[in-house]
Amino acid sequence: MLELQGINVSYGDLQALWDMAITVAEGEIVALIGSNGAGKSTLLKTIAGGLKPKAGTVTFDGVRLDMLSSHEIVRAGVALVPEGRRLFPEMTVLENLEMGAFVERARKLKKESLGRMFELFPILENRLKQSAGTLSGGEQQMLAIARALMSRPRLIMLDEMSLGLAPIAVKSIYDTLIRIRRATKITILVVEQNVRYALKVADRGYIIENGRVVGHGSATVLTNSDDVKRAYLAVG
Amino acid sequence: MGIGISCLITLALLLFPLFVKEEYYLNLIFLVSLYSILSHSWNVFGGLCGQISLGHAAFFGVGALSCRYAWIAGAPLPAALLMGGIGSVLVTCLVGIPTLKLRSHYFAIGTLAMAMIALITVQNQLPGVNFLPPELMAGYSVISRYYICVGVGLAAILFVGALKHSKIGLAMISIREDEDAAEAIGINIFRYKVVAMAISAFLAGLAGGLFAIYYVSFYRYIPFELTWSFDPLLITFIGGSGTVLGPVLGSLCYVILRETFALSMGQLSVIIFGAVFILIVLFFPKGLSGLIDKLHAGGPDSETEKQ
Amino acid sequence: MKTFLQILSYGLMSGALYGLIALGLSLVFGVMSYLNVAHGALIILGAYLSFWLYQLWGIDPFPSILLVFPLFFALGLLLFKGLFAALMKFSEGDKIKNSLLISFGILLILPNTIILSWTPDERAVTTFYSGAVVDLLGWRLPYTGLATVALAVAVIAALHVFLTRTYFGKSIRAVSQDFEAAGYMGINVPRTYMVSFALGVALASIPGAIVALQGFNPDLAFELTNKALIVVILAGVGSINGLLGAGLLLGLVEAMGVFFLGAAYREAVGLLLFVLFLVYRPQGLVGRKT
Repeated sequence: MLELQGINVSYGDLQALWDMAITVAEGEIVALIGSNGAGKSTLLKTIAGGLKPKAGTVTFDGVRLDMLSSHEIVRAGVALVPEGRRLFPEMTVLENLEMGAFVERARKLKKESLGRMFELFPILENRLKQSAGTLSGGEQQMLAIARALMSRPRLIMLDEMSLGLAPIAVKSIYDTLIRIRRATKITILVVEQNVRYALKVADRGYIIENGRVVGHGSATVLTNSDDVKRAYLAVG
Repeated sequence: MGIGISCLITLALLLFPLFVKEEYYLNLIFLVSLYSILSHSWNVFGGLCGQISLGHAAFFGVGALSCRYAWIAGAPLPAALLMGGIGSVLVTCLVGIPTLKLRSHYFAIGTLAMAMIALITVQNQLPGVNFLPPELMAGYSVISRYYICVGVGLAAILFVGALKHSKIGLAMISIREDEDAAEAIGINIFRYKVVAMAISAFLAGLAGGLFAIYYVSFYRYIPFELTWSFDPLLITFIGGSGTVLGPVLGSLCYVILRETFALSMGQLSVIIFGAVFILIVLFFPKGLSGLIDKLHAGGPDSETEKQ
Repeated sequence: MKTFLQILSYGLMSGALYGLIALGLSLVFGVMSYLNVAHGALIILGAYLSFWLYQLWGIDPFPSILLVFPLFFALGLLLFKGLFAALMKFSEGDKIKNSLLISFGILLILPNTIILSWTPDERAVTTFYSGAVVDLLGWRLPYTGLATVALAVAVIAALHVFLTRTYFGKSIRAVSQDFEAAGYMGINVPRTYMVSFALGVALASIPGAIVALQGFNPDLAFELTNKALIVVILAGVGSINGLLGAGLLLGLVEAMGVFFLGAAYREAVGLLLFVLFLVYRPQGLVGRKT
């Protein structure tokens, strides 16, 4: 469904990603793991259109995403929950959700999508009129995910979801993700520093270091790999 | 521009009045020099240090009046000029320092407001014309003004050139490029901004002083008019912001353009200048100076920008 | 006492006009951080258009807004596509700095072009209600002034509804709060910038019509921009609703300045207030801290 080939991305003169190649099949949960600053967020941003690759292609169901701008990519069915959530701080919970449903296709289904979001994240329904900036960390993360889901994407990407969240909140969100996948067959791409959780939830994973893909495999293989254990599981 | 060419031009300027006696031409060169100095004063603050200020009219005006009063009170010309510079530094830095914490366009509009307040205050507190007393009228000569102005102009150019490559200049440039990064490597942003502002005020005050000793009589608010804020900005950008020759080239164009349209449609010169300015901002950030550098194709003598 | 009340009411009516003047500038500045200092020149242009519409076809300035507004919207689109879009290639910091410089260039070019085309003479639209006042026992309230207050309230309310009740309006607010995230929502950020800019220019037509009634000349352009800047800072960047209050505050402060210090210091008092807010209360009356 999603295929990256030969992706090279630079911030100005500073190259961040080197020849990355990733595939994600429909309905999968794929995790991108690696240490801080390895380039995982940069990769997600590139797929979402926030950055343009110097070379390489990003294809989604045959459509070249690297030639599109971010809003067109959302229309194509890819949504990003950005690092740090990036909610609209002075807009209410409801308004943030509405912004998620901005694209034509999603706007028509807004009411239904809202209903679904309230089922998945009941707490949001209680906070509709509140400013997004006043929510707790966990609530903000839920709102960010719900907001992205409002665009009815076929692929949702989550960037460092667990940062700054209490373990209970992280578990709850991951459980919800699994529920979502079961219900809607949505494809999920997660970037996670919390490797343990990422591999528990994912089907497959890619290891990214210094802007390159240095390993990949099924979640079970990776969890049992000595290298991964040493590098990430002892610490995280 | 090689050393050779610079010397030739300097020599030409110094010998000019021996061959050309018409005041009209001396006046033109005087104006080019005056605008060069004023624009360089803006250049130090805006071009090197990156703080776009719209308050230079206040520096210029205070300098003009300080010099004028000192001169009328009996000080010899050089001392009066110095008073212009010092007066400007004292008064405007006092009032200007609080604005230094503002960034980017807030700084621009803050300094603009200060300049406007100065203008209104002078219009109301010091209305009317300042005339030259007869003793000073008697000793007035255009040629002396010419030499003083050209002299100060050349000194200013050399000064800015030296400043640019000095430690202070490099600190200013790094503030312009990335204020946060500069702070991170230990540069005291506030101190250097104050220094830049002081140097800028001094030069502008000198320029004001030149204005004051040149014009026999003028309405006291004239040197505070906002055009003295806007012109150096335009001139510096068109000539090449942050360069040594930029303000001079820009002043040359400005004076020539103004003269060409002075009798017909003065507005046209402003329109042309404004249009060129926009083009420079969008497409030729190095200004005329940059264009000239391109023509010289970077030989060992050329004044290229290494940032 | 009567004079005090009189001066106060004139101050409030001026204040309403100031609020209108600041609208377009505030919108553009809040959404994309472009400080369009040519805004005052656009208002003057609007005044001239209203003036010519009256001279040639007898259209009263207030209804002329219905014609000038869409015209200015188109002008705004042109200006953005032709000029400001070229800024996109710069970094954020340079983009903001250069937008200031470019609008500065326009501020020079536009009024001087107007002078060449239509002479620098003072113009004014004089209608049947021009001098008329509501007279309450000696307290005089000009019809034009009252209409200005009503118009200011109406326009700001309409803008508020637009920004909070329509999808596009909400997307404008989203873009102004976080343009990158807005893009990830599927909002077409470049198009939003263009429309917001055009809207900002179009909003200049409204104070333009009122200025036409008061008497104007091309040199007023700078002063109008100045007023707009002061009100925007007083209100706080990003606040549309606060503009009315800030405008009224400025009008009141000026009125007090006139009353206590004399007409000559009217401008200076407002400017002083401006500088104080800039340095000590940059978030303005209601705005958010950037």
